[in-house]
Amino acid sequence: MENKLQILILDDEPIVGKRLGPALTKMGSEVEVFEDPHKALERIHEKTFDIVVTDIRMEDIDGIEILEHVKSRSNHTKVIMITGYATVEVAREALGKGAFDFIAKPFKPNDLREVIIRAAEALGFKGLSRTDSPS
Amino acid sequence: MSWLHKWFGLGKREDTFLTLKLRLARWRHLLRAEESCLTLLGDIREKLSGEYVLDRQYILSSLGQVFQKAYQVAYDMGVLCDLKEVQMYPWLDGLKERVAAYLRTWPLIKTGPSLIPLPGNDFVKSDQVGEMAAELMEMKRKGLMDIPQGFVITIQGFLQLLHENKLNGYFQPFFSGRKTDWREGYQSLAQGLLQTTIPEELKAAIQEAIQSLSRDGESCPSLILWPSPLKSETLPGFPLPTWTWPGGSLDSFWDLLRSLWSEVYLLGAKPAAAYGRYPLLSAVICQRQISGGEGYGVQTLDPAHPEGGEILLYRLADAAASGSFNRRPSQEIRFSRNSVGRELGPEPLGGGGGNLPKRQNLAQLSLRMENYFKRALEILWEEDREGNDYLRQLRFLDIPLEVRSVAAEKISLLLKGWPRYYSQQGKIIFRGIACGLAAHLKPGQDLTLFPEGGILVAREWCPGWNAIAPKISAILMEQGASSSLAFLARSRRIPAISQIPGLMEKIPDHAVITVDAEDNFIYENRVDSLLDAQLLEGHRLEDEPEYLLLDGVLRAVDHSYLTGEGGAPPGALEGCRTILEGIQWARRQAMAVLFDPAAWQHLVRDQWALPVGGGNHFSIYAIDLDKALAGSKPAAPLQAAIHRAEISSTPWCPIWQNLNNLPFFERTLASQEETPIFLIFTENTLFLFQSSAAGKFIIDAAITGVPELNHLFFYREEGEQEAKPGTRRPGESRALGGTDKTSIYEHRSFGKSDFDTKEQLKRSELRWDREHKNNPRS
Repeated sequence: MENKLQILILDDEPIVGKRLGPALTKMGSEVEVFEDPHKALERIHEKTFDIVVTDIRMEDIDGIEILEHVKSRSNHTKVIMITGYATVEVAREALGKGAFDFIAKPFKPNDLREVIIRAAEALGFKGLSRTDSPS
Repeated sequence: MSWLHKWFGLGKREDTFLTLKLRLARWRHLLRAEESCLTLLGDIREKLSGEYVLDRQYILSSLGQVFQKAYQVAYDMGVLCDLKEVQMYPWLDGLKERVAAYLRTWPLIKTGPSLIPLPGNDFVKSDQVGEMAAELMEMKRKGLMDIPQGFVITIQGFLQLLHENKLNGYFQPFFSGRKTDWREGYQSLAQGLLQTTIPEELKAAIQEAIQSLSRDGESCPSLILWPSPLKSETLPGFPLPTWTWPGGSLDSFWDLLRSLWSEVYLLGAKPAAAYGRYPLLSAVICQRQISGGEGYGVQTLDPAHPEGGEILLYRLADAAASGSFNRRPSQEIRFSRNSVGRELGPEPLGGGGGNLPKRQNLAQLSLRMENYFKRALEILWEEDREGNDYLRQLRFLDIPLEVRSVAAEKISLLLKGWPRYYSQQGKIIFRGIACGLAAHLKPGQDLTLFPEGGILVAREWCPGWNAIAPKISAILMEQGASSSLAFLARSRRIPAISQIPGLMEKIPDHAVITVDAEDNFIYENRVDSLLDAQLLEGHRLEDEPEYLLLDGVLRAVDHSYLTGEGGAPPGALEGCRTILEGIQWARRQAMAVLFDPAAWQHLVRDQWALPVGGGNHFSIYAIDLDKALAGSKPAAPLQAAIHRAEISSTPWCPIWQNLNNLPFFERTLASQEETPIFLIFTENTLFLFQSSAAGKFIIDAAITGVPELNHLFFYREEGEQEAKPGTRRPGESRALGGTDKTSIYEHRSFGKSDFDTKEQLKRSELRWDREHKNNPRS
């Protein structure tokens, strides 16, 4: 198992990646940010990530498809769905297809960090910082 | 009391309680809707001020809910008050539309190297987009005018196109050292561009940008062609500077882009005095089409009769009908410059009616822009169907030479006897003319007392005075200038003169003075004619800092420059005998002097430049920018000049010979990483001096008036503890810049001469490559 948690963030809104990327990096993870789902899929096929954080509603490919691709590649990877359309149906579909958790926008980075830490602990990672660690 | 009766349903007993009950229910509904609305707004406020990650969708949906609740409140209020018309509805409609309009301005276009949205949040990429886009953004930044949404296809995007289509190879013949037909090479390039495959990444970015511009249901974007100063006729098929793509298949749009690039790709050079950059490649701008309203062009002076004090305004439709913006339209309105509200004859457009306030507003705005650029301008305005005016294009007004000459002669006569404080003393930092109250300043003084439009008079520059830069109309310094003052003056276009002896004693505080930093005079009182004359000047070579670079270099290396003696054999370039004459000859054709090391390194790297000479320390390249690029035959003398074997017979030969002899350049600087300095001497030929830190130093020296280049620099060899100054006298050092490999310092000796800084600035190491590197194209 690699020392650092490998995280992929996918959201077609640039602001999301810009906010989350540094926040998760400060936890001690290695983060790759994508806005284009096609490019994200290419990367997912190249590398196995520990955690994939993806938006649900995107043009061309939605988060559920991303979830299915990730799970077909690696059952080990934890997928966290983020969405601005928080409905019971969406949550049910995502969790039913193997998403680890589901968080609705807007959220604080700390909220996502908590989810990430739980996912990391489920993967066997220990000692991730819950606050900003010095770079 | 009737409403109270109604409210309580006072009247028939059996109705009273039912009506009251219904009204109370309605009232409760209103209050709940209001509470929801306020809760939503509070939530949005909290999310925006907190550490939340949110996206556009959240904003849109939240605002949608807010308006939904607000309309509900309005409805309930209408029911409760028995109002036939609820005034809140139109108000809410208007507010909603304003919010929607604001949301539409969010940059939907993904930024990247290929596209930049207009207007951008922070338009720092002006070096990628060229002059026009940069000028448009400058106008927006100054708050002078809004510009329509759009995007710019950047120079970088265009270069990507060239690279992926392997078009750089068309330049290869020029670097073989053989005589070649430039016209053939550039014709091939032009043909190649017509058949290019637009890179998928660029195509996708453009498609998305076009879709985002059309999302609000307006027409498809219009395409603005980069105006070429070299072409007197309009482009075939495009009679106007702007062209509207009619929509439909994007195939026609790609064809348009290819034609545009093929026609103007290397003809788009235009001096960008405000930015000191001269992008040679066109930056294509696509803007949301402004339609629905009238479009106007404004000339802030009558180019034929500038002394008349009139602003001309014409309809763009009339100009289009006449075929070109360069010709006077048949119908125009004139405004008095002194009183923009006063409309002069002939008959106003539209038969005496028309939108007079609109035209006055445009004329006033145009004058504000003229005041900023200090030049007469021609500005194109377009109006959308909501009546909002947009700035479409701005350029310096072309005043005929004969008109300028007459005006210059009148000024000369007027100024002969005009009382003055100083005549050609001091060093011009930045050219221009300004009138105002002289305001003496000392460090630590209360800056709030500085008058608006005042002329700053001081013994030496204090960097803290940058804060009042917007209020300053000119700067006069008794002592030498600093780089910070030079940069401030250049970037803000503030006329400035330094090294004026006895300044503080001679010019009284609060005296009205006129600073002529064009010809280096300081006059008593206000000389309006000088200010008016400034407007007539177009781009002058001497205005540009890069010209000062040449001036400084030549003063150091070419003795004939000052004396007019000696020089190259006659007949080399139209009878030029000295470099000075050569420059003057070049200036008759010259458009600008270019200095942009960062942006043009690729030209050397990608071998667009023909090596024409050089010694150990400098490489000289030339690029022919003649109309041969578009198929015309270059002028014969120039064609001869750019061939390597013949360059030694030109007046330019002494330049690099003497540069090699400067002690400063003992080490070879030529390397792949060096950044070139570019000098355009004509429209057609670009001569490049290749250097790095030297260029920065020279430019600083030229602008700030550091004397004697060869005594004020030093270098440190690798491993040495101390620098070896050019002079052994104690002094202080100032880092002037450089690259990763080399840095250069200015060393000033303490003594009687005035220095522009007394602080010890940070040192960096200076390392020079010891080994001579061969000119890779020798």
